[in-house]
Amino acid sequence: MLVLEDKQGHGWCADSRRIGTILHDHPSLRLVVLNSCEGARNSLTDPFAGVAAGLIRQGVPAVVAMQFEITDEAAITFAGEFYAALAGGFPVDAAVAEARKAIYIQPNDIEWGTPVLYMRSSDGVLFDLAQKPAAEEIMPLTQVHGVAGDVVVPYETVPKAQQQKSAEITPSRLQVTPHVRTLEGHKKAVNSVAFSPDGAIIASGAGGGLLWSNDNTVRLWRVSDGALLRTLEGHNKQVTDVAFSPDEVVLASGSRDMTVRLWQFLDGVLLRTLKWYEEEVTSVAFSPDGVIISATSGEIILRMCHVSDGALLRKLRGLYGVGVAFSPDGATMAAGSGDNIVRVWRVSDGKLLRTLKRHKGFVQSLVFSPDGVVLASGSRDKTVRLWQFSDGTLLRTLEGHKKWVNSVAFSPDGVIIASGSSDKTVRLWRVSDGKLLCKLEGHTKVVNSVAFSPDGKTLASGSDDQTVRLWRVK
Amino acid sequence: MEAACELGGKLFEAVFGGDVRACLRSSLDEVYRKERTGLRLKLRLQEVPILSDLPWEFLMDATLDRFFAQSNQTPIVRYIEMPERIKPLTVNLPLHLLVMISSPSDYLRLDVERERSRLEETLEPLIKAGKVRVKWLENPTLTDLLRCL
Repeated sequence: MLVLEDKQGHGWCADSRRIGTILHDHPSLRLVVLNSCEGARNSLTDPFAGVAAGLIRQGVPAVVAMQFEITDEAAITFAGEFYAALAGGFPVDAAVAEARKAIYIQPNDIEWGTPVLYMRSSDGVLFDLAQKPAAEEIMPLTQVHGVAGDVVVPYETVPKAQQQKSAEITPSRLQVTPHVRTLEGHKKAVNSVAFSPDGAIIASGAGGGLLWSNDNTVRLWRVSDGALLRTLEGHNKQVTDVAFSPDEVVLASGSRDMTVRLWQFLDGVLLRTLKWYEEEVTSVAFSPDGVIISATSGEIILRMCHVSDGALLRKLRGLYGVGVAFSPDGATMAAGSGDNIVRVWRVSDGKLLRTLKRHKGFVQSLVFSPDGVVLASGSRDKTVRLWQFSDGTLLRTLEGHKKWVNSVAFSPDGVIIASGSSDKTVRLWRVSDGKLLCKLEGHTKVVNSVAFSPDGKTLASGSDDQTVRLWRVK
Repeated sequence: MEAACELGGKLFEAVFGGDVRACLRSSLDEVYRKERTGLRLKLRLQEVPILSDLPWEFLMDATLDRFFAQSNQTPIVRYIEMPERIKPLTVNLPLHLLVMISSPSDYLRLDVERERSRLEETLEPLIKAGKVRVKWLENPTLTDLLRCL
């Protein structure tokens, strides 16, 4: 799907067949370039792949599509070099290679790989130039056929238990024992962790990475001894978020496979699969009375339903949602987004109450303090911000993380806030004055998720290093 | 860069084993012996969506320490087989670009003006040299696209 505009300037989704039909009768149209500007989307998989292939089937000889969001800098460099090479008589694939080189030497180590060239022209020649440029500029290409469909991507091995480092303990009442337990078993990054309301069980959702994911499971572990109780299988892609219903009956899991699954968590029975999403689900949360809220990546719709029947209650437009959270009384909800803004809505009628605009990067995680007074947000701008919920005042900015803050969690007494970051650390901060209490080191890769047990004595963290670590907090 | 190398190396190991690697090596040898030729790596992945989601552009020959897609001698393309042939077309410069920037009011807003001015700036030398001409579609609607073509 491409989102174009309708006459009123609102979003209008055009599928590749519709666009292709318009383009089909124009044989001089030889190339379509689909650009995804910075901030224009927040999807992890390649949303243009389908459109690009569709346009080729409708007769367009070649399509260049960005497989990830591309920065302005890289996109502009690409355009300049690419069109110059085309006008110089290069075959389209050689022109793309020239443009890649230009991005690479910017220098830019990653984005040269962002453009993908789809084509059906066997020789890469989209047109002949009537006036040929100098012969040395043109390069014929021979072809090799060989890459077949039966490719097997090797499984990644489970890393061995990593060396443990001791936590830095500041002189305060807080004591943290470096991971009491490491829960190992996931074969992919752990993206989300959640404690059951009674604190006995911890759920972890896994999957992802740039390679095909071989572990899209939710696992349930016993907190007391770290035993793996159950593996919930069913999602076809990365599980991005897990949440327990307050009555401890249902576990919800959101996934990049564009579904939310509701599991009866005691016996692992799949109760319901919510399939009305058109994009990857990034976040799920329960209200105190069992309403489920979920947000998706590229999409701008926040969906709510009641756990009992799975019927869609409301759609709220206007964000690229990431972290979603309910206030403790269930009356309001908040979501982070790709435009660096935190939005807060009234649940009863979906009215947008407040927009909090101080972050300088993608807001990835949100959490309300247990008393509902403070809303905390973690962002790619490396900070955690604490907001007074009643009027949206920014109370405090917690600085220290060296990379993105991916997850935030309040201790049940509201005294401490924990943050997990791409800098591989978990940090604990005192809410009252923003003081850094301690830095937990041990994870060997990005920390994606943090959660406090309901009694506040255990902190769990999930990481790209495929483990869940439990830390004793006193 | 490390991540790109690791990923590219893994993709390469996964695909180019045994006979396939031998075939690649001998084809590359042939290409490098001749001047002004190249080897196009065509990936046919349409039938296997799980594979087409992978960023194959990062394919890296670890022994040569080189990304294929970074050289115009070894471009990587996603190939889609079609029964109809492409009719040959001879064009005179300038190449015509039609640019459409969609930024619906109910979605995250793009800085359309900035996008536009940066692209214009970049293409200015090509436009002045008479190699490229750019037309902007003012209203990014399907109707306007149809009219404009």
